[in-house]
Amino acid sequence: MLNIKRKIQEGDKVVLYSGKDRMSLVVVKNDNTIFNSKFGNYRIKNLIGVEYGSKVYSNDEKGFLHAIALNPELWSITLDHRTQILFNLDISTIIFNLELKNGSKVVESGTGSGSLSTSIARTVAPLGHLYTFEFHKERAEHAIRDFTENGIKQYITVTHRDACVDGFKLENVEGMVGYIDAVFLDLPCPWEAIDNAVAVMHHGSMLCSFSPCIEQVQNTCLKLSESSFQEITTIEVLIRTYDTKYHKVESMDLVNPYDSTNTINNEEVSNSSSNTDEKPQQRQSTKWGQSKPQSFTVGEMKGTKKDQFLTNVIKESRGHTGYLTFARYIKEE
Amino acid sequence: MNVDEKQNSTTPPPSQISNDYLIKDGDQVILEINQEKLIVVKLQKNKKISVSKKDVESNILIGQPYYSLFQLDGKTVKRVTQKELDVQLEGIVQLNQTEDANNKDLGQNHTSQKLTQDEIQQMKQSGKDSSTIIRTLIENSSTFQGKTSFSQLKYLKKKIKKYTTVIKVIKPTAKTLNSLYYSSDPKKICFLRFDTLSQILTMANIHSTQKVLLMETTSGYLTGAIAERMNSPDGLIFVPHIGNGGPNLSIVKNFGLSKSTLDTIKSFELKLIDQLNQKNLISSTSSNNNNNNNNHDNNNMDIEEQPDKKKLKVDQTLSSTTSTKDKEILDLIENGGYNSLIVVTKYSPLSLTLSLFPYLNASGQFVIYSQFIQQLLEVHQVLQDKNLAVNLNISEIWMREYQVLPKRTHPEMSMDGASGYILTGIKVKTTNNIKPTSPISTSTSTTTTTTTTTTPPVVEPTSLEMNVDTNNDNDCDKKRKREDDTQ
Repeated sequence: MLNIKRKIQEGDKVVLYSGKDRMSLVVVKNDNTIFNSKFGNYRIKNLIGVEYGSKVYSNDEKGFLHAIALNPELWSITLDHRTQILFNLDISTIIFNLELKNGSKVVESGTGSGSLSTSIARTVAPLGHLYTFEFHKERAEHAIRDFTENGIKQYITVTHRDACVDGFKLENVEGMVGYIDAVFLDLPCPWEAIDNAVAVMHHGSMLCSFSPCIEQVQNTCLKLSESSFQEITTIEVLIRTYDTKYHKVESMDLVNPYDSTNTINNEEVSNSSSNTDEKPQQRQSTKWGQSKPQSFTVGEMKGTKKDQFLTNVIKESRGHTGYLTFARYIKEE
Repeated sequence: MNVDEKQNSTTPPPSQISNDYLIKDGDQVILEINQEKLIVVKLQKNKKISVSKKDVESNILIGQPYYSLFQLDGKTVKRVTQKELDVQLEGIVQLNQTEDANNKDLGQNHTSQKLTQDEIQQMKQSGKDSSTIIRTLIENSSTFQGKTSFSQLKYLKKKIKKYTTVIKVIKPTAKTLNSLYYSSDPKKICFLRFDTLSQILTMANIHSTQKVLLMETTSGYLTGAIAERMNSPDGLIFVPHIGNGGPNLSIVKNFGLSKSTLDTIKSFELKLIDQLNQKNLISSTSSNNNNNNNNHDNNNMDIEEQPDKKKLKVDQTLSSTTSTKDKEILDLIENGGYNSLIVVTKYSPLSLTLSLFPYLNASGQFVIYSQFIQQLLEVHQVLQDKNLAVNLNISEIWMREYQVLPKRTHPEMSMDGASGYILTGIKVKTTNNIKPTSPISTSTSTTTTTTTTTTPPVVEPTSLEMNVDTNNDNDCDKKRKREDDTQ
């Protein structure tokens, strides 16, 4: 996943893109596997040697899709969700506020579906390392399998353990205790793991706790302030995604009582635009738009119908994901 | 300070503070003054820095751990801990223990303080310490005793900030520098809020070996943030600059990056790219050739030194370039193998994005930032109409901070409502579409081999045919476009 290649090779995981909500992950094999979709059937073997980002036609040449290289963001969309996964924006905010970079040593609990783990590994590789803990045995095993397949195994140590009880210290691992740059907690009772986190952190390192409930935040912040943490801040981030596309826009051709040039010739009004408020977009749509403006009538009233490229917020938005609490560990002397 | 040093030096026992977190001579540091103001200064041995109109010896700070607190009280400067400050605060006066205090008797006028401004000023100039001044103020306040312990503490904290200066020495990182510039001079970093920046770094797939094409007017802040995250000599950040005055990357130096990481930042005039585009446009229209980015090579990364901007004449055209320096620049543009494109400028993003777009690899990710959604709409429309990209998304972020206190948890009363907007997407190829030529039924005889070699298998002409698709507006495209529109 980290070595970006130009051409698809056998064994690669490729994202087949045919729409924002239609992305599939396939492993390219040199056999007769057929990928079936709404936009036709594709022989996977044919992808070998094809440049990433290419448009690939279906076997009957009627449909097409794009073959895209896998990255942690597409992975988090296409992976099979075993748990509630963290969303892209939360992941970005966590990685940034934990001050992660190539070389950081990070502790994470729990691993869950490995969506955040993958993003962390991408950021800290190759000099850093992620120690991730998952108390659910099957999930831990599944995560190891995914990390191996995605080629990031060497940057991640998955441990099946309840970190609240048994802590984060790993036997036989050098340069871990006292060298951890960041700790991320996604646990039902994060405050129970904070002493264990302190045991592996160094002066100036960062901690983040993700909790959906405010009561959890309350307890966590109390525990943090008692445990020599500073800069304790709790934030909430939500993404607002815009739906952007061409719309058929109808406007009535009416006399503009505030513009004398428009009152004389009504025909001209219907040919040009009467919609003075949206000048820039109007110009754009005639330049790039799909079709020419058409006139229409409602009773005796005339109007103009044309394609306009417009944007508005997507209706189905997420109202809450979780609260993010960040704090810096300041070692007391 | 940097990873190179971290690895070479013998690792200290975990009980000690690592060398990376000790303030050193020559470090660029951020000073947080009274939890309000942030400034960035360079610490040099035996030199003084100025904090709140007072001189502080750098030597007092050097050698101490980062995030340490220093109190400037009266005429002395000493290192303190948060606990000591808390004790100091609580020691000034006994706080109200009763629960039934409220603000029903609190007046809106400013008559509660009996001391005059002159008397307070006199106390301050006589060099009395902050606790004494505040205690005198409280003694002369008619309303202090009637306040709840919570508001009494609030009052004390406010006063202590006024009569004493506490500075915290912060290690500069993308995060801490963002809070500095975003609070003091947001225009300098294009109003880039931390959450928007974090999303840009994620969506542009920034990692150690990434090759980034970056157009920015954030005075080098974004360049530094990307370089900090890559922290590697194997990456490449190519930042074209506008105008012949050289790149404005002044903030980069505040990150304290290692030399090997700094060396991955390359810059030269955007004009050269524009000239190259002009040249390619002419040649492609004359020979009706396909796109100009098909000769990219990922492994060809042998650019050794930063192009010397001063030697480049403004009037020099690319067609007449012969020197090795110019060849290197051309190589940097055409063979950079960029998988990431970021545009964060004060300019309208459309022309800048399109100008750099040919040099982004297919399947590469791009992030375009603007304070104005209309500008991104324009870019979105062009990229969609020309079928240059997929997974196009415009988004903004709603971010809210919380006050978390026992029984007093709520969102902060004021919030920052303007995150700006970002357009993200993945570039796709517009030519060389892949069409199958043989039906499925005839392919059953193909032998399946389990090959372990890493070299890509040779594309057999019988199974694949590279068709140069000159007509992008075929039925299928239109059909798909409608599909995309309805999604």
